[in-house]
Amino acid sequence: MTWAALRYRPAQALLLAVLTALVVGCAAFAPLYERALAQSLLRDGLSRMPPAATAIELTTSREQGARVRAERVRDIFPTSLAGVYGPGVERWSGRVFVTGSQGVSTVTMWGSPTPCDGLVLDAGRCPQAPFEVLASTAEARLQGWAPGAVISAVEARGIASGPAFASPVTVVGTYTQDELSAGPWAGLRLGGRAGTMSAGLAPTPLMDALVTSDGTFAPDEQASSFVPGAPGWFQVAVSVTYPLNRDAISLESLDGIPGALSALGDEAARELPRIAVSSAVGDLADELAEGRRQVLVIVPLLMAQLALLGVVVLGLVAESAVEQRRPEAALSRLRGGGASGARRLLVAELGAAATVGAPLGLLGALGVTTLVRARWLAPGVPAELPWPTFAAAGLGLILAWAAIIIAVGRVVREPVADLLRRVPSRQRGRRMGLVDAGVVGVSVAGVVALASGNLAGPLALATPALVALAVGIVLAHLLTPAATLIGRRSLDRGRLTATLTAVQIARRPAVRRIVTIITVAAALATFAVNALVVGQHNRELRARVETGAAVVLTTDSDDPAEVQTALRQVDPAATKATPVAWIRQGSSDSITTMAVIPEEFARVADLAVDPAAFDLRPLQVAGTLPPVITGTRLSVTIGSSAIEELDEVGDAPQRAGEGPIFAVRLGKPGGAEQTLSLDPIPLTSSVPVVFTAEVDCPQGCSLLAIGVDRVGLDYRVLRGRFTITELRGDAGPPAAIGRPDTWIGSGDKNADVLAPYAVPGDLGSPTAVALDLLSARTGVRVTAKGAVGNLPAFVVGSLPPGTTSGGTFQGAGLDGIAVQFQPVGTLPYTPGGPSNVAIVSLRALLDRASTLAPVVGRLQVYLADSSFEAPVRDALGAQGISVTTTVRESDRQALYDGSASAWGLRLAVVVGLLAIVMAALVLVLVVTTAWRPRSRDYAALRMSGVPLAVLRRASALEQGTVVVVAGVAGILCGLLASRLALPMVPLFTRPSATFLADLRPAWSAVGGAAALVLGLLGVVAIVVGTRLVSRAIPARLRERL
Amino acid sequence: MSAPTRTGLAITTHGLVHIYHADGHDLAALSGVDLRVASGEIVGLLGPSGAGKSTLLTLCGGLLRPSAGTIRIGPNDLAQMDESALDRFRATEVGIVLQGADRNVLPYVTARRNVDFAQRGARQHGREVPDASEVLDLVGILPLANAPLATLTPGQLQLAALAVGIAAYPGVLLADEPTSQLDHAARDTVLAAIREVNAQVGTTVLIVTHDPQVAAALPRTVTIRDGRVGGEGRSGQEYAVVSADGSLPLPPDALDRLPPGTLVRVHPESDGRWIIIPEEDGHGPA
Repeated sequence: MTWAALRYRPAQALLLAVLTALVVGCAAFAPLYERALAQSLLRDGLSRMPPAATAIELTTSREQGARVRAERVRDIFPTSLAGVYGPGVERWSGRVFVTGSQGVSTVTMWGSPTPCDGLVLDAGRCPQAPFEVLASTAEARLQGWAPGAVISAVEARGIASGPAFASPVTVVGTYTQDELSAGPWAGLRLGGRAGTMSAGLAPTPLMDALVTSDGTFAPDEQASSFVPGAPGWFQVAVSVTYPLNRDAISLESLDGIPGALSALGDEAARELPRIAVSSAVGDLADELAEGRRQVLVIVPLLMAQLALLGVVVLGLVAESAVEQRRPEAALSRLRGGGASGARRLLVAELGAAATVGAPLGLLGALGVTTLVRARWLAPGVPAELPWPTFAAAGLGLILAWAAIIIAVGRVVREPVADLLRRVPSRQRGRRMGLVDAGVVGVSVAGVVALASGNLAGPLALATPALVALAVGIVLAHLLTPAATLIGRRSLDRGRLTATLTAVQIARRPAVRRIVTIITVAAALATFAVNALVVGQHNRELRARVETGAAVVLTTDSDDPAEVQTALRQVDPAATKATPVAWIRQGSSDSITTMAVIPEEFARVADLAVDPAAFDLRPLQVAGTLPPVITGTRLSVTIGSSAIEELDEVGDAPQRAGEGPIFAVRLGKPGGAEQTLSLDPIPLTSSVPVVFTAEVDCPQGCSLLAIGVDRVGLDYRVLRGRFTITELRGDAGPPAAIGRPDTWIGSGDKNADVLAPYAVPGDLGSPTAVALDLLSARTGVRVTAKGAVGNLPAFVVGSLPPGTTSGGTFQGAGLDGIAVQFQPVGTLPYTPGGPSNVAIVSLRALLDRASTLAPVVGRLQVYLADSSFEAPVRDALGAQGISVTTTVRESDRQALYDGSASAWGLRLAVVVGLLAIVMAALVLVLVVTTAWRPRSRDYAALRMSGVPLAVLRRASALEQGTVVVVAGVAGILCGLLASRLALPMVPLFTRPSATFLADLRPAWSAVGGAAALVLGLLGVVAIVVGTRLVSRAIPARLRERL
Repeated sequence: MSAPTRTGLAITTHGLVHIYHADGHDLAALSGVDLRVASGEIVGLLGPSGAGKSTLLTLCGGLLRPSAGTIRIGPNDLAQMDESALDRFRATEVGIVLQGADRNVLPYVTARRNVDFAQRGARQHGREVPDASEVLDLVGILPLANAPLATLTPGQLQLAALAVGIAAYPGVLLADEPTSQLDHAARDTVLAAIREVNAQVGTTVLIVTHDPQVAAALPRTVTIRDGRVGGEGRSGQEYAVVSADGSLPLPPDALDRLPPGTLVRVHPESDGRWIIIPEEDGHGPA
């Protein structure tokens, strides 16, 4: 009987099956996609990490006299990791002094049980016995070593006393290292040093590594103790590197690695000598874990809402189907089957249709996952069927059955007499059902909680759909009375089309269903598309902000001028390339200096966010250097003085006749400052007076301030002027103190009140200056402009510790020496840099130092266009400058586009489309299931004289009005949902310290989604409406079945 | 016949009232109906539209609750029965044929399967039911037992509906306009089937009809007028029925002559007849 019932209404059965398939498919897809995505993250992560990064390296060296044994290292490697890690590769090392043709070099001697693996033997043979070595072919050529040559190697160790271990080594062959990734030397650059010198003040000749067998470092070859003179190696190290078996690693085994590593580290620390454990595979595990956590947010956020929509649609379709089966339910009750019999009859039929859809949904989910694996995810993701898929599919089917049972239950409990009515009684008025009211209540509560930050977890993820559901329900209940009112008014005004449209909308119970569903579908489509585009936009922005330019080349040069020369060869106008210097300071909370050429930087850098803020013109103000004195003895010549004593009221002046003490403040290299108080200046003198003092300025000290000090209980007010005709150190010329505009005075000389001041005066000489002063109890001084914030700087982030009350702070110059920076503004972020940065003029720093300090300094080239990379590389290479690292915006964006968040958000496309398809299905279904009575209505209207054209317009308008009203409401709900829920969506695997996500709506995408929703559904609505009228033939009126 | 022998159930109503609510008002569909139908009798219910015939039928089927009065079908006092008891009653004791043959059948299965379906309730309540073929043969459509319902003529479909109604050989068969929209031949066939069922199974039959020819073919008719029993017809003779409260509804032609408010004297004659003598001026106080 169930099968017969299904065949009787095949379209309805098919629709129920399809909708159930959609619900089940959405539910099943979530765990399938999550698993596939995790596999993709694993493969993508592995592809980005070189083998050395994922390997586990155990290293130990001699400690407290304990000899190093490789077996001890191998013994502690956990067996639990044996399945995913290959056999350990052993590598020994020791350092020796070798005398070559250019002098003594410190050479690393590397040993391995298989020393020739990964090397090309150019001459001779592979070392077998201890102290047989291979030299690099380039080094052997340079040193004149042929196979058989014996060279002296003395252990290079820190203990100065006593003879070091020395053993002659025999060169038995020469090698070239072909690949950095092969053999025991993976990740190790053995050559490339022959004929070069080390950097620094005292360069020494460098030498390529010597390669030997592990026997050279065997425990028997190690010294028995650290007593000087004891034979054998004092200091050797061995590392055993276990490479990750990338074919064997799985998600589950990767999960176990961090724990095993931690336990390994604990055990290694207890060994003697201690064993160090290093591996970056934990980072991969952490990244993967974070990615999976994010996927667990994003995928349910999208799929759960789609599934919710599917259940709502299924429920409403089931309601519609059950309404059509009222006579059958009545018959069952009439024949004594009771409500339970009627329920069994209907649930069997509708439930069977739904159950047929379940495996289809599961297959569909598998199919979509396969497609996604092939098109979106990293290559090599296996096809898997995790068990939660079946549980989710089962849950989807249960929800479908629940929707059907609820719809059936409501009808079969009605009195038999009501079921038998040919025209069921309709609820009139605006009364909202209990279920509807409950949904609205939950949704409002959810929105309030979400907006106030008190809601998280699965319910928060479903809130966008609930919002739309609530709005749709309320709108549906309001639409009927509104349409009734409009219908009446239109009738009064004689507008037939409008009347028919409004009345049809008001009298059709199906309108409520359509409004609700279209609202939710439009909201879902809008939210999904907006989330997708906002995610994409932010990934692009972050890539641009973090990179700073289309391409950023890090060079090995320490000479900005040299780099600039190279760039000007290919970019004379400086529109495509510009140098950028980075200098960091020692402590972690200190500020990093970023030195740029302001006008070039503004043209070349990619100022992705808030470009208007990057007006760097204030940096172009040339900094003024303070005067400098050099020597160990300071002498100051006071040319003349005319200072008057002004008594304090009522008190006899103390120290009468004594002038103020001449004082200077000096700044030393390294940033230390010193204030010197010399001798009292005569109150009145026209004869030069010389003051001297010992100073420590052999390299030069900056003259930061000159003025006067007061000593003791001296309450006099002193006012007047004195001149300094010369101020110098004994090892340098007179300081250039003559220009008044290079000094910053204090106070106001022309004030009406007696307030302290110190103002420089022009004497017409570059080395002489006058000082007008008023001093009351305390000293006054003028300060060199070069000392007070001489270097203007834009600050990104907060001011560093030690910032003065005047706002100046210390930053690093090119040579690493401290420079005072004066903030002239703040910037929202550092293009291509961290968050705690002072951006200054490179030219201003070059005034102080010409080369970058090693270790703390880094010189980069920012390129505006990736197509310019090759010419710039060539130009740099022509100057002997190598590029050590390259960062491209496109690579960074590809990295973010391959993140869990990006892949998760791509689902939005699927979700949006399916939501619209569901809404269109509902439109078609609701009209087609009731097409007979509707077309009879229209036939009756035709019989009574209403023109066909009016009927067509009214029918199309009826459907179209509902679509537009509900669609617009849904789009607005989607925007609201974006505002509420997007902050919950993780856009990146790792948060950024510099980049603030821009969650504003993507209006163009929203507009496109709106157009698609309204356009597609509008077309469907008009087509079904006009088709309905075409079936409105008078013969329809005689139909009974 | 392999079916168990059944006897019909008597139908008795006393002062039966049914009030329903419509358009904000309470309306009395039945205003005190006293009816007795003997076991195994065939009775037709006549009367104008809205008189309460279908309501009475529905009450007898336990589909509505009386507002007042009693209604007994055999030993079953319907007003006292709860829903599960009514389900059992409808499954085993009463068969209902709704107006419009298509409303009595599941359109997607054959007549045979419809009869099976109708018998489910009786089986669940432990009642022995006849074979579906026997039921279909009784009403005369056994050859069409497995034919799709859409291929049956209106008369055949009505017979199928009848078969469904008597599927469990109930004690009472309630049929609402079973011959409406049928041609004469089909009508006669259906009536013959009903009589056959009554004869073979002993089912008491209550038929609502507008058709005077159908009424004429029934041994007894009861006319319902304004929610009350207005008269009876037996063997072609029309009778007025004295109701429980002593009122005597006049036939329509008499009512024309003696409109409401007319003063009459009821005078017994020596031969046992009663004469109604209206007053000359004919009217009581205004």
